[in-house]
Amino acid sequence: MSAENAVIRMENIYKSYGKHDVLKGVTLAVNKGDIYGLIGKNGAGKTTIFKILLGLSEKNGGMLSIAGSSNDRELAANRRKIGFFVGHSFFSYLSAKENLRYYATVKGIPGREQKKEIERVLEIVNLQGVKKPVKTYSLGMKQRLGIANAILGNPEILILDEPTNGLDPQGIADVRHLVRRLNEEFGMTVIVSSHILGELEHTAHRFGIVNEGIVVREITEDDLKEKNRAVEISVDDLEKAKELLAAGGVKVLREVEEKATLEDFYFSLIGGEGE
Amino acid sequence: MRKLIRADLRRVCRKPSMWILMAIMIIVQFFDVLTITDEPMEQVLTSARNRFGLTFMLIITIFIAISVLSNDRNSNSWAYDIGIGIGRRKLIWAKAIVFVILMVIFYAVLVPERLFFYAVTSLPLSGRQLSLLVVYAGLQVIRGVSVLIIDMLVDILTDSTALAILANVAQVVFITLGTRMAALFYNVNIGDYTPDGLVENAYNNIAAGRFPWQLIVVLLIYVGAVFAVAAAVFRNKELQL
Ligand SMILES: Nc1ncnc2c1ncn2[C@@H]1O[C@H](COP(=O)(O)OP(=O)(O)OP(=O)(O)O)[C@@H](O)[C@H]1O
Ligand SMILES: [Mg+2]
Repeated sequence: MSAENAVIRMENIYKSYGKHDVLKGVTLAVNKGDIYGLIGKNGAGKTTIFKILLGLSEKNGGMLSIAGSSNDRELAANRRKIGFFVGHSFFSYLSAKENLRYYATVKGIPGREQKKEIERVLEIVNLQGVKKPVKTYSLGMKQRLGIANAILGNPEILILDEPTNGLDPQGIADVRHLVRRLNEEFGMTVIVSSHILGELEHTAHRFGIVNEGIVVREITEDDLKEKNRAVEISVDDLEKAKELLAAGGVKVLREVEEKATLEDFYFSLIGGEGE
Repeated sequence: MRKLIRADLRRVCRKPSMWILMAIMIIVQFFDVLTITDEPMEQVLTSARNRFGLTFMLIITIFIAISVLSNDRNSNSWAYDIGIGIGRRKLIWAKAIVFVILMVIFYAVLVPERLFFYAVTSLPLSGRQLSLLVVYAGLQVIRGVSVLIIDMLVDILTDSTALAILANVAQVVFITLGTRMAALFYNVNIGDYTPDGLVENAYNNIAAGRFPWQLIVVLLIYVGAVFAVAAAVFRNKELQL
């Protein structure tokens, strides 16, 4: 990875709350056009990394750059390229549309384009036609609205902190597809966090594994492929295949019977699709 | 910053409570005028000033504090705005300007309404008396903003909107009434140092044709310096999301 290519760079970021060191030298780089998965268990520091990136929390040391700039004024300006969903930020007495209208105005989307843009993002997250105030929404609906708000105005960089929290299986699959689509269609750079490994495995191109306040390792898709020593093949006649393999001097290390997953069952019963 | 101000004004003006409160104050003023018997005109003007400076001041500033500080805190919208690139300084400037505009909106409805009622009931008030009443109401905008800026500082310092609202009530009711009573009964003029007392004295100066230097003190200290402190505290503040 070359430094010029990185739209977001963190070098040796420290953060402590009182005596509690939460980030102990986080270094990571997110390239333009990447889907970067931030993985770590509860309390590892994922949300804190996002808060520092977004300027909501002051770092105690280290360097942060967004789109090549690292001074405060330019950082604020470059944050305009970011859309994010880290926590709920809605006025409970307003409806989904009114909330989006508020943020569309703040983001500087011209008045005449707002209506269309709001319809577009609501449709993407499947919330069209909901007119009630946000305080009456279920957790999943709020989550969807949060994602809609993040992609409002098609930002260059999208930050999602555990976006699938509280979503049903269809919702989780939708988010996964959405992230890939935004990345492929619009070239959006995406940083998405999760503590569920499987969730990011097929979505992200690069992964940062966070543990106890440091990025222990950055992994690329290629690393995963390299690690793949075993190859899975499907055959129609297992006994014959085993015989042939044995004759050719190939050792069978492991035999796996393919079972339907819970996800397969779920989707076959209620319709819709997962992976 | 202009975008944020526009978004905030639209959001607040969509709250039904804003127009309900406005309607209540309009009705109260209607009865104010209706119940004037043959008291001297000076008395009529004093009660008009008390409406603008005390009752309405309380209702309006609390409404604005709730609409801007409390609703914003509950919605985490400050954090969101900063995350999408609104600078922290710009953000709190925008909020202060929203305070000013909302104060002006309220008084811009209530003052003409009162003048209109005075006109139709043909009270013998001189043009000078009426224009001084308008000046008085205008000064209340400055005082209301000073109250709200102090609310904002309390909100930022304590992370509690409940305390900010409490500070609002304390400023408008307890301090105002307390200092006025102290002046009346004990001849202690603490009021000379509070925004209320300073604005009151500035008004007296204007009425007497003197320069209202007290306004400079209010603007420099209670609006300017408090705002500067709030901005400084807010600069590195941790925001929750
Ligand atoms: N405002 C705060 N004050 C004190 N400690 C905090 C604060 N915010 C976070 N922490 C601490 O920082 C650590 C990291 O928290 P963070 O929210 O970044 O974890 P996370 O990786 O996002 O976890 P999760 O998967 O549960 O969301 C935690 O131990 C938490 O207690
Ligand atoms: Mg978190």
